[in-house]
Amino acid sequence: MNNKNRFHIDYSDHGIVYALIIFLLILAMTNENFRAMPFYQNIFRQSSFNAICGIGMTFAIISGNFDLSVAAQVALVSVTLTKLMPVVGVLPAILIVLGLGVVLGAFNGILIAKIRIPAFIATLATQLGYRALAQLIENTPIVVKDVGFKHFSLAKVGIVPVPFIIMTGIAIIGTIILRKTRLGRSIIAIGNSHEAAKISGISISWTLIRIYMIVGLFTACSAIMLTSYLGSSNFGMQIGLEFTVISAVVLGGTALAGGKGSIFNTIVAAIFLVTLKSAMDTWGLDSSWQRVLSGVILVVAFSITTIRTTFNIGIIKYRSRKNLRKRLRNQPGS
Amino acid sequence: MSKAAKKFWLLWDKIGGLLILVVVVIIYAVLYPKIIAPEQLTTTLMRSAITGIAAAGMTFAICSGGFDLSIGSIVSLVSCIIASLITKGMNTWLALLVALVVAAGCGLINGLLITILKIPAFVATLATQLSFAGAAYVYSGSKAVQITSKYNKDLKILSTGKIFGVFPTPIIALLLVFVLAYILYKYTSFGTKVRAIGSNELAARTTGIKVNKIVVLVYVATAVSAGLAGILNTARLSTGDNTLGNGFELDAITAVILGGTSLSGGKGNIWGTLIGAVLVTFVKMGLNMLGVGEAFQKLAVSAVLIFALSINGIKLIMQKEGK
Repeated sequence: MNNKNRFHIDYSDHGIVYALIIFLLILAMTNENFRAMPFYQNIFRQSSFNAICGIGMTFAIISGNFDLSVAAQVALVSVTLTKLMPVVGVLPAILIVLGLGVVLGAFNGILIAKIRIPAFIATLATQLGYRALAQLIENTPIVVKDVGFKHFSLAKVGIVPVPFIIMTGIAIIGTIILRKTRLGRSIIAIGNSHEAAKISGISISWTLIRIYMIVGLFTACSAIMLTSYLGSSNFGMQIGLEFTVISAVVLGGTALAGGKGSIFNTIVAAIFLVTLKSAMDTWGLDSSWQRVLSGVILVVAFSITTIRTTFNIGIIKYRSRKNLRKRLRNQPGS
Repeated sequence: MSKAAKKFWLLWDKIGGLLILVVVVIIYAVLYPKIIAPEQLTTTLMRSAITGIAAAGMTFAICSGGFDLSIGSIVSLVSCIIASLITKGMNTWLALLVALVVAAGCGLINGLLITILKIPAFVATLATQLSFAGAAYVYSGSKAVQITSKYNKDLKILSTGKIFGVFPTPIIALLLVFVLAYILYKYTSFGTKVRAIGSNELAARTTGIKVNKIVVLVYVATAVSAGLAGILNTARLSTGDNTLGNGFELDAITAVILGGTSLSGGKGNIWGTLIGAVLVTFVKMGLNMLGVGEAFQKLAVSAVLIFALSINGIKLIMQKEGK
């Protein structure tokens, strides 16, 4: 029992895992394309980009906040990266844009923590600004020339795509931060109760700024790999990524109100969403309907908490009525 | 907080937006005198009618402690519906009515998601933003529909027409909407209830206000006002475009916050919103006339929004420290 607590794995909240398994089984039964190895490799590769971003977003949502600017951050980082690469070389450029990601995140964090702007509207405003900056840097698409950089996200170790391995590494780091460090405890505490966290001596604003720096860093990682995968960048790329990422986090069972969440589930949900998308493509659903559907998925994900609570309350009511009836029946003399 | 600071913020809530507007106008006038020529000012006002009408509805949403991010998509959807119905030969006014009904339906969906499924307002409208934009794409087949001169005779009344030959229709519409909004906000029980819900929802519920009903009504009103804005914008461009409303919600939100409406709810400022809307439009059009590129314009809107939010935040911090 103690062991279980130490690793802090919540077995009750793995709905998304079962959903993914069932969905993959159904797909495998209906279409032979879904039984081939390349399909799975593709899914794992593509979902890595969203998942890395989602790991950062999990931190933000656990703390009861939000980041709507991740898509614009990806665009800005990616444009900067492709612009810098021919000038300073691949590795320095990557290091610089990782720093840029942290700076962008820190700016969000300062707006939210120091100037007390509600997170969603602060990031809504910076989203516009970041994308405009990307457009200022370069108005037209840039193609990546470096062959080595282009190939690394297409490479495989054995049968596992490289992006998936990197994603796993980042997920492990993220989980360690969340479960084993003081920062992680502070994040969960803030999400559970802002006031209680403050009273217990946690510096709210510094924690918030660090959360957004983490979001920025992970988003930059995702952007670098995405640039390598796409082989180009432009300021309008990945519009709507924030929806996919938030859907993944919330579908993974991270409570919107904060205080609870799991990085593992976020990753599973990201894989689920990519699988769903490629299934819809295979079924021939056109992109307009896919948009409508992704909105509906988001609504469903958001309402799961309410539905579950209502359901649980219903069960409790039913059980207590049943117990009451039983007790009345067993009462002597009635 | 000292007495002077308190007085300052009280005054700022009332005339802060106006002050910034005056400063911006002076700066522009120095840089580019043509901007304050009467006909240019009229154009600016006509253009601000679009942002302003949507912002009037948004004031109620924000005042009730909520938010509506889906209005941009509603504008796009309305635009597509009008264009396709009119070019298919439907009577213009009937088409506009259909579009408004659809907009009201969108608002109803928002309201029900927020009240029945208890999804936080900004998240719910974030999701429906995606769905409504998708619906616009589904409806229009992802291409803009030009309303040719054969069909747009009635629409012209809404864009360049003049009432009594003097007053441009959009400006009259803008004023009408704001007078209506002001009466609703100040003198009806609906307005009082919205404010009550915004300042303390639980207390409002306990006093017997039908919170769910009012909140649904607020989102329907917001959506209908967005629909009206969509109609005016479609009339202006004579085009049904499914990207028309992209980023539109930011303009409206900026207008509302610049106008002094508190983000935490419970306190709105209708006339402030009007000034905020004019200010946002003026900043954008001025940059346009100065020949600044699209990217810089977006950056400017973002900066203005962050500025408005920062003022709001600093005020909150100072008030908290004062206690």
